[in-house]
Amino acid sequence: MNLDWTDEEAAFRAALRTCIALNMRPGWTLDNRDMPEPRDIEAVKAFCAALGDAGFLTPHWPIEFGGREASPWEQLIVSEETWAAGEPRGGQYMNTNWIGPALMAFGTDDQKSQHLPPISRGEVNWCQGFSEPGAGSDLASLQCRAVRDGDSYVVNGQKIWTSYAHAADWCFLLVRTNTEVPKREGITILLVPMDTPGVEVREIANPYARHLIHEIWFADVVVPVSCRLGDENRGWDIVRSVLANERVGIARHEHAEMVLDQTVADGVGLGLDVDDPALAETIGSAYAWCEAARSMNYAAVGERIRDPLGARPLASVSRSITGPMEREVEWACLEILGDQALASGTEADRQVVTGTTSMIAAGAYEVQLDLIAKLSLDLPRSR
Amino acid sequence: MDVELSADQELLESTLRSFFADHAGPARARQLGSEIDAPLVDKLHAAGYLDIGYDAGPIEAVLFTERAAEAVVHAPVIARALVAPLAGIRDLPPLVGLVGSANGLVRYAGSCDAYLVLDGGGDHVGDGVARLAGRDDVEVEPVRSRTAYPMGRVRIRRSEPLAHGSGDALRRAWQVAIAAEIAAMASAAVALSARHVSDRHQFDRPIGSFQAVQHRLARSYGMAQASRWLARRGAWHNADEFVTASAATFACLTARETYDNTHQVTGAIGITTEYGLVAYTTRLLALHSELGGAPAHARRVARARRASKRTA
Repeated sequence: MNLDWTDEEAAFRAALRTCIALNMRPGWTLDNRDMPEPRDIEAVKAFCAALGDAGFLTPHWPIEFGGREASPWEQLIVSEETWAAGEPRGGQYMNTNWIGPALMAFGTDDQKSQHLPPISRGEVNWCQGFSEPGAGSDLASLQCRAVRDGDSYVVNGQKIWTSYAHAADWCFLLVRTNTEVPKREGITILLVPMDTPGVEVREIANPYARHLIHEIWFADVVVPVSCRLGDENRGWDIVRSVLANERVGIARHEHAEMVLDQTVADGVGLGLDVDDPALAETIGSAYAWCEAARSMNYAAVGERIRDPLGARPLASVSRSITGPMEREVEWACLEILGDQALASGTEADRQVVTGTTSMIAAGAYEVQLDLIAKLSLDLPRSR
Repeated sequence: MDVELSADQELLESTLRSFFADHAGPARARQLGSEIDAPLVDKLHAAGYLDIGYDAGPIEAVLFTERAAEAVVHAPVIARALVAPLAGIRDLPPLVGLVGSANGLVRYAGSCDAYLVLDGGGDHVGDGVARLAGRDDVEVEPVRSRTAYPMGRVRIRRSEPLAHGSGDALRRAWQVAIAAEIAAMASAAVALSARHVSDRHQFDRPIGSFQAVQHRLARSYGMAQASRWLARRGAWHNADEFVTASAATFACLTARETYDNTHQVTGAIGITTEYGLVAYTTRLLALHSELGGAPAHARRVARARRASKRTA
């Protein structure tokens, strides 16, 4: 065990930080990550292209797919630095963390040739068509239907709560292709161009952010069989491995500490007494949650290196700390600034969005607790 | 970065588990009551485990602390094995007590060969220097307590100042020790409770099959794991109070969460001496309260962060 960054990792981080500073649009914040304006979509692609040119977008990928087989630690450093900067990759972190690796593991040669180069060049935005009105935490209950018709599938149904759908070029779509078998055995993955006729994206109104969440409607959408990832009805196995990658791919701790730093600085700027003992307790406790999340994230990366294809229980443990961490930071920010935190444009204000969604998105907090009960504590099954 | 234990560290862990399985445990600690486990201390000393922090390193010392805590070693060995080496304090006897404030409770007071006294713990308040007092330099007032530790107040009559900066170093090392001990005991309490809820049937099913029960234990398990990894980082980065105080803060939050959750799911049997959960949870209470507890640790986190931002 050596808990220092190596010289190479430190040099990588420094070079990455310089690259981010040179190529990120000035004034970028986490508000822009959802790409509410067309210029944000352009900025994400330009930034990711620059990152790709410099070798910072997919360093952990195999050489044959545009990477250099860097360690998962460098992947984590990329996540830490981009999150600290307000995630100027937009939704493209999904591309590099799990969509690309899923294509490498389960895609055909044609699919790899078609999708991986543009992902590694930062040219393409993806969204994940997972949740449905009747299938959220119980994702395997999904009902969006794909019926085989010759060399194509015809897709009808709805996806909901989808991030980045309005900006996406492609959708990593889960569909039901068999209703006669247990629910996990009738799911297939389709890679769907978002400009296919019959695909409609609608933004879902909310008080938190523009283009935060969307629904996608599929009406007689024709998708060639060549766009199927893996075997028909075997999509659930792919999804399980994909979700483990998703859980440890985001270095939220780095951003949360930046938010606290900035909010304390804002408080000082407003003449508030941030050294008041009661407030200092709140602030210190929130930082401690961030450091706990950082530690657990590092442990989960270690697990990923040690056992990349295993059940990886620490991934769920990590997520079970990260979600509450965001909430702790959210409330700490509100306590630091008081009503000033509610004025739009501050990091404290943005953290309200992050804190609110953190225990809901990417697998609800309770799902992570279910997984811990099963994988780590071996408790009796509830059903 | 490498978070994996080396082959030697894994061997150390497994050796310690076997050693403590043979020579320690909650039942033995309960039998000892207010006496410390002197035979075990002799064995640990003879085997060189009390020098592990000097001879091997901070991770080995924290691994020793974790295994000793989960085995409920009933003696004040952590100060010598982990705290003193991290703080750069040498030449101590085997049994060392930690004194944090003039009127505070001290674990194993009266059973220690020497006492490390934090700034403010004796007559010399506020100079930032830790002090060392021998057994004959102190007066001990035993204090009855529901915690499983023998407790007392230690009045320092004479003490020797240690090096400049030793006070801060001692406090940071103590924060790490608190975190490591809490993490291990919380994990042990959760494991014991998980066995109980798997065996205990109500409404014709194991109570551990109810999601309300599962989620309490899963939350504690996750926090205990995070505490463990943060304590290890604290041991490694023991000169950085932002990390060490964060470790202590989060561990105290874990202690509270685990105390509440394990007792809640274990019900009445959990508060009995015989069942064994209290061996961990009452110790968690004591650890949770040392050095001012979560509020004091958290204030130090905030202060350390502010200081680093000012100097950045």
